[in-house]
Amino acid sequence: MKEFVCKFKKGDVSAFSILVNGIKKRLYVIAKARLKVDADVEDAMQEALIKVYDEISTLKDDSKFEAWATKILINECNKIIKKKRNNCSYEDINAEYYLSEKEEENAVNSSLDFFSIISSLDIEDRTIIAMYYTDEYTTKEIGNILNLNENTVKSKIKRAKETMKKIYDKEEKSNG
Amino acid sequence: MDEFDKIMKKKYNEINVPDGIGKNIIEEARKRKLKKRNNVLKLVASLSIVLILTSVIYFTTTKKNSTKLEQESSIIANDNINQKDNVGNENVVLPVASRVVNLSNDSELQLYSEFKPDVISIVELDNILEYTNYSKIQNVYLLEPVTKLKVSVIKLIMGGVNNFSNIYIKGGIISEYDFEKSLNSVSKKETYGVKMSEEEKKNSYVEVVTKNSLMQAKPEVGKTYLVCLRKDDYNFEGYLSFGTYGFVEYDMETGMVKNVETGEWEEIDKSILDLDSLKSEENN
Repeated sequence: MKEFVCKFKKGDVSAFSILVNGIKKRLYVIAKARLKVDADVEDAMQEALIKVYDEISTLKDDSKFEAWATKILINECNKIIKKKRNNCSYEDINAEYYLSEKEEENAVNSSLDFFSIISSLDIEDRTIIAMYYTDEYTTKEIGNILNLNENTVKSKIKRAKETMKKIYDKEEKSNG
Repeated sequence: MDEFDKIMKKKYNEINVPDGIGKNIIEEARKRKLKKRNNVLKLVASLSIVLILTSVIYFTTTKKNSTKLEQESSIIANDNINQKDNVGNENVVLPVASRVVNLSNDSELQLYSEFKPDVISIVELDNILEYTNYSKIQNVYLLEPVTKLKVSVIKLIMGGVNNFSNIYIKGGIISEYDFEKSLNSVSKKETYGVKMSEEEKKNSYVEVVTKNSLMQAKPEVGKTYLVCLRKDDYNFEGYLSFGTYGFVEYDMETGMVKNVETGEWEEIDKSILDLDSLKSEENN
């Protein structure tokens, strides 16, 4: 990853595509965990990746590319959340309502997917869990990215896993 | 890894990223840059027109007053003003550009890659002192000119220096004559130069727009700015703005900065400039 960051900084544009492909899934899962709505996720990803492209020269330590890009993505997600909070309309509320109905439907009709299992957690716990299961971030790195203490991250992961396990077990039982 | 972790990991692996995500980023980024550049050029063109009109009015008034004085006291006024002698004078007469040269695609003019500035401060702009592309230190004319500003420090955020009063920002208006001195190859002269006599070149001015100058706010006397500066001993003795927050308009009440591209007030993006961590690094 570091090698491609270095190449891209030197002007090799093809290295950017390789970098994007390398982090795309992890960033998508984090954005989806944070925002839930697909259209918002796409917007946040687009804005974040454009910012990564534009601001790469400001990255001092190439080895921290992924953490830096994740921070940018989380900032973009926060902007969308803030904007929605300020312009909360009937359509938005409806969309959220529709989403939870859809999630419920999914939960009843099929086995729970990743996002359905984490959907009952709050926004911060969802983000931490999404980062945790990518296997790419240590609890210390998660703490640094989200401005949290490492021990807080550990205890949040533990509590979130207990909650998710209960939901999962309940669903498994009801599906026989 | 317990049994539940394995289940979650499996479910994570089953996630598919929708096709459209992460595509056409480079094209979109380039489109936006182009749009931003066009907007800036439009703004520069409008400002140039306003400046030309202001200058015409100013010079007409000055000439009338000067003629009146000449008649009254029979003193012959010397109107051969050398602008370089006016540095530091509160009544500096700044040149007006008759054309704009866009060098934002010039590979020689790389954006600064340093992340950490030497000084971060909130300043009020007192005066625009001069534009220049001449480096006294290196004794060369540079392709990218700078604008020298006189500022008052309102609040020092980072860095041990709070007594600076002059800073430099990228971009500026220089004479065609000085600009041509920086075009040190034939191809560059053909691309960016103009065909004029030496005398005309000394009296015509060109606004040079670069990648760095597009990132910063237009200097307006009386306004408050957030500045991220680095000590420049290479070309100019003093502090030079750099990066996204090199020279941006700042609101003292909200702590927000004006986005140069959109013109909207927004919070400082911590992923680009994290003032808290810079301050704590400095304290350590």
